[in-house]
Amino acid sequence: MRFYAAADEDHKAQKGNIYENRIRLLMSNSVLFYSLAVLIISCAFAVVFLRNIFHAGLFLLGAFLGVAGIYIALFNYFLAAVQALVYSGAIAVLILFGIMLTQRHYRKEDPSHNAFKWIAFVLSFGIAGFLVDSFRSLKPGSIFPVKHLLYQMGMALMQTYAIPFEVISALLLVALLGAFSLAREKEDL
Amino acid sequence: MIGIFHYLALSAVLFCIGLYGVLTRRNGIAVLMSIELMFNAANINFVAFSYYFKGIHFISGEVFPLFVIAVAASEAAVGLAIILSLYRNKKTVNVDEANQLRG
Repeated sequence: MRFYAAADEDHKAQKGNIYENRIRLLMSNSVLFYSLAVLIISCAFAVVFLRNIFHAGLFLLGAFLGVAGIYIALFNYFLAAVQALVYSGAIAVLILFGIMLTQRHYRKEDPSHNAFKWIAFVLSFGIAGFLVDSFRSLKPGSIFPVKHLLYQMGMALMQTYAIPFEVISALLLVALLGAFSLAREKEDL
Repeated sequence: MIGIFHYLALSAVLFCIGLYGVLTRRNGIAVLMSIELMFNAANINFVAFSYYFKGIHFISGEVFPLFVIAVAASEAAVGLAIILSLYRNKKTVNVDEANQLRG
């Protein structure tokens, strides 16, 4: 296993460096981060404020893809792939199907937000401003890219986090079975 | 230079947008979508801290988002099933009209 990882590293040594340097260059110009941040924040605002729930679901897909780009900017390619596959591939599609199944009795004159919207606006964006202001004292600091990240993640999943990994798989199975039995048509009950 | 401040600020703003959606949206599916935004904000924090700080368990921040994604998937499935059965019984998906359990 260790030998395989080392050989793989040798093979990718030159090739990976080119890509990582290119992304580092983008990051030093801040272009990648700021464009992704603008994408994520604007998509999130659209999710929260749009009246049309289906359009909000499509913007949610954009926000998920932007977060996958943030993982690429943080050099965790595997997590970016998982985010793109599971979040924007599975969860967003599940939500879009849920929207399509429940919009028959949709009335246009209904308000899309409840009566607390101004209080909630002040509260949540006050919290956001407070948090961002309190982060300002943080120094930029140095970065610690992990060597052999995917190898180490796999080892951690199978050694340190073996029990949580199995519990999560059981949780996923139970939750999907429960969702099936909840959403099923019940004839005699 | 992009530091950890930028990632934390992005994550805080994303979390608070999600919080606003959870507090104010009437459509149950929109509430679920806002909860997913909050999960994503937490995941950005995990990965950013793991990238900018070195500790003994530095790999935990890279692995934990996988667990969060799995829990988010099961939460979305169960939440949508609940909303579907609510829709089937009451012909609405608005969470403020689901008041059967109110005393």
